[in-house]
Amino acid sequence: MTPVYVEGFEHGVISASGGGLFSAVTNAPTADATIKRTGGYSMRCYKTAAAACFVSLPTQPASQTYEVGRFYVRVDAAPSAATGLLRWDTAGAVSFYIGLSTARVINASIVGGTQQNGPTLELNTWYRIDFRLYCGGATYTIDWQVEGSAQTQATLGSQAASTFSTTTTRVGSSSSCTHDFYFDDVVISNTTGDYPIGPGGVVGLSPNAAGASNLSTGIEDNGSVDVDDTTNPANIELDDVPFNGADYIKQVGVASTNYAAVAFADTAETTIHGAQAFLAYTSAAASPANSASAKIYDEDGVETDIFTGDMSESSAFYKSAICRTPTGGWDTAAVNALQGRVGYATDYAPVPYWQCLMIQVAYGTGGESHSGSSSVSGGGAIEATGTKGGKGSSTISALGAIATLGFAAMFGLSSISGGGAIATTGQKSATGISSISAGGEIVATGGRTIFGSSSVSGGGVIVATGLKDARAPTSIAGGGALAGAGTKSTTGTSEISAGPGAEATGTKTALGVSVVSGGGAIESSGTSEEAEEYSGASEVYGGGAVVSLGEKNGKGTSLVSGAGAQEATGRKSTTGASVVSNGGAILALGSKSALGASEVTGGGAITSEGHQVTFEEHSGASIVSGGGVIESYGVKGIWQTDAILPTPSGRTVTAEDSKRTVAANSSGRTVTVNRRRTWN
Amino acid sequence: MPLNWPPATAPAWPPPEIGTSLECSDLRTLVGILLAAGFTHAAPTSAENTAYFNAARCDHGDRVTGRMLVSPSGIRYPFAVCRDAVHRDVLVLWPPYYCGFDSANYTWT
Repeated sequence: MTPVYVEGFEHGVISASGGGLFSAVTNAPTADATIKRTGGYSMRCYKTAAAACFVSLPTQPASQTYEVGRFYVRVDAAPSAATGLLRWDTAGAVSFYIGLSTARVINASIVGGTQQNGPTLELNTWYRIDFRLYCGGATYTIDWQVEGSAQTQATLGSQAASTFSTTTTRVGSSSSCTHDFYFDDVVISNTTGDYPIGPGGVVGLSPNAAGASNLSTGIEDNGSVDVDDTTNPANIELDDVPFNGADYIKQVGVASTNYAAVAFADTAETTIHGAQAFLAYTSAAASPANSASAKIYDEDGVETDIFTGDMSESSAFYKSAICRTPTGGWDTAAVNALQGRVGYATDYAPVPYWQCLMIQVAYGTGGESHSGSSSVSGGGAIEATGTKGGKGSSTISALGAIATLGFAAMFGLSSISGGGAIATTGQKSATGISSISAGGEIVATGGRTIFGSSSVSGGGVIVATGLKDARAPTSIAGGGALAGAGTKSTTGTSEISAGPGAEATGTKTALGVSVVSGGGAIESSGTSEEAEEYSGASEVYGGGAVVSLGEKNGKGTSLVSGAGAQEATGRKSTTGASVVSNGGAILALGSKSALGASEVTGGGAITSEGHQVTFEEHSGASIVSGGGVIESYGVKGIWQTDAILPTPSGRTVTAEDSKRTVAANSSGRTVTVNRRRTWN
Repeated sequence: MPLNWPPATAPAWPPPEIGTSLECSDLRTLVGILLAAGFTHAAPTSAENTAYFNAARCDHGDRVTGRMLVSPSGIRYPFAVCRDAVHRDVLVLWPPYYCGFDSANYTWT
C-alpha cells in the first residue's frame, strides 16, 4: 500500500505550529497516554460543555479523487448531538462524513445524500473504521466498514467531478456537543485499491543509537559539546517523548554537507504499510531567516527531506514527511534501516535547534487482514493460522478443507460450507453464523462459545470437545453422529436431532430445548456432579433408547416419549412433566421425587425401586395409569393424586412399605395407606 | 516575535462561535474553518489599518497587510500578512502570534 499520512499520536503533542502534525487544533483535543489502542498515545476529544473538538490533518496531496483510510475510534461518552468523527470536503465544499448519533449509531453520509447507518458502538471499546471516499465522477460515494464488516455505501448523485480539499480534513468531533472520544492508528492513502486497509496499528520509533554521521566541529549538543557517534551520539538529545525542547542538537557553522545521524528503535512488525517522519525544531532567535535541514536516509541510500528551510522560530515548530517507499517495498529490514540526519546548514544565524525526531510506522496485523470479503472460495484447502478476526464475510466455501487455528473471533458469517472437513481449533467465539453445513466432518476443539447459529448441519460427524457454551441455535442436525464431550451448557436450542446417535457426556445443563429427537440413541452419562439439569424441554423423543445415568433434574418437560426403553438411574427429581409415555418400559431407580406430573403412562412396565431415603415422594400427579405393571417399593408418600388406575384387571399396583397415600381420589374415595397395601 | 502585534484592542480570541481555543498552522486553514462557521472576508477600514496594521511588523521585521474575518455576530478579527514575497508569514491572535515561513500562502477573495 502507499500511505500519504500516518498518525498514531506517538509524539504525544497536539499542535498546529508549523503544520507538520496538524494544520488546525480546535478546542484542545489532547494526547492521552492512559487510554490508547497501540503505542504510547491516542488523541482524546473530550468536552463536558458543548463544543466541537477536532484536529485538521496536515496539508494532504492535491488533485485527489480518492481518499482511502483507516482509523480506530473509542467512545467513552456518547455525543449530546449528532456529530462527525471524520469530515472530508471536496474542493467544491461538499462534505463527506463518518459520524455518530446520540445513540452511538455510527453512520456515513455525504451532505445532500442519504445517511447510511451502521452498528451501535459499545462504550469503552475500540472500533476499526475503514473508508474510501470518491468524488471523481457524477456520483460521490463512501464505501466503509466497521470492524471489517462492510456497511451500506453512502452516495450523492448528480454532482460535478471534483477533487478533495487538501486542508479541511477533520478527525474528531466536528459539531458542537458534549462527548468523550479517543482516536488512534490513523492511516490515509489516495490509492483506491488500498481499501480496506484493515487491522493494524501505528508504532512510534524514536532515535536510540548513533547513525553514520558526517560530522563537522560545528554540530553540537545543547551543552556545546561536539556530537560524536561513539562518545556523544545525537540520539541522546533527539529522543524525547512526548516531543519537547529540553535538549537539542544545534549547528553553529556553515557546513552544508555535514550532519549528525541517528538510528531508530527497531520494529518487529512484519507487515509494513509505510512510515512518516516527524520533527520538532526551533532556533536561538526568531529572526532573521536561517536555513538548515532534517532528512530521512533509507536502505536505498536515498535522502528524503523532513524539512529544509527557515528554522528561525521562537517556539517549537513541527514538520513531517512521508518516507519514500524503498525499492522492493516496505518490510521489517527497510524500517529498521532508516536513519535520521540533522544539519546541512547554509545559514546558521540564528543557530538552528533540532529538538526531536520520530518515525511513525503503520503496520498490518499478521493474519488479520481477511475481512469484509463477500466470498472466499477455494477448490483446495484454506488455512488461516493465528488469525485474530475474520469478520463480515458473507460466504466461505471450500471444496476441500477449511482449517482455522487460533481464531479469536468470527463474526457475522452468513454461511460456512465445506464439502470436505471443517476443523476449528482454539476458537473462542463464532457469533451470528446463520448456517454451518458440512458434507464431511465438523470438529471444534476448545471452542468456547457458538452463539445464535440458526442451523448447524453435518452429513457426517459433528464433534465438539471442550465446548463451554452453545447458545440459541435454532437447529443442530447431524446425519451422522453428534457427540459433545465436556459440554457445560446447551441453552435455548429449539431443536436437536440426530439420525443415528447423539451422545452428551458430562453435560451439566440443557435448558429451554423445545425438541430433542433422536432416530438412534440418546445417551447422557455422567456423575451426579456432571449431569445436573434438563429444564424446559417441551418434547424429548427417542426412537431408540433414552438413557440418563446420574441425572439429577429433569424439569418442566411437557412430553417424554420413548418407543424403546427409558431408564433413569439415580435421578433425584422429575418435575412438572405433563406427559411421560413409554411404549416400552419405564424404569426409575433410586429416584427421590417425581412432582407435578399430570400424566404418567406406561404401555409396558413402570418400576420404581428404592428405599425410604432415596425414593421419597410422588405427589400432584393427576393420573397415573399403567397398562402393565406399576410397582413402587419403599415409597414414603403418594399425595394429591386424582386417580390411580390399575385397571383393567390383570394389572397390578403394588406399594410396599409405604408410609402414606393421602387424598388419592378415585371415584370420590380417599385412601390412606400407612403400611403395605396391594390392589389387584 | 512580531512587533506591535497582537493589537491590544483586538477582540478576544477565539471567537465564541468556535469555543475555547483555535490554533491553525496557516491562513488557508484558518479561513477554511472560519468560513465554514459562517464568517466572511473583509478588507480593513482606514481606522482598522491605523489601529491594527500600520505599526505592526512580522517576526522578521517586514511590514504587513491587514485582513479581516468577520463573525456572524459582526465582530471583526484582524490578521496580518507579511509583505515579504519569500517570508509570507501570517500574524495571528494566538501564541506565538505568527505561523512562520510561507504560512500566508492564500489568495484573499
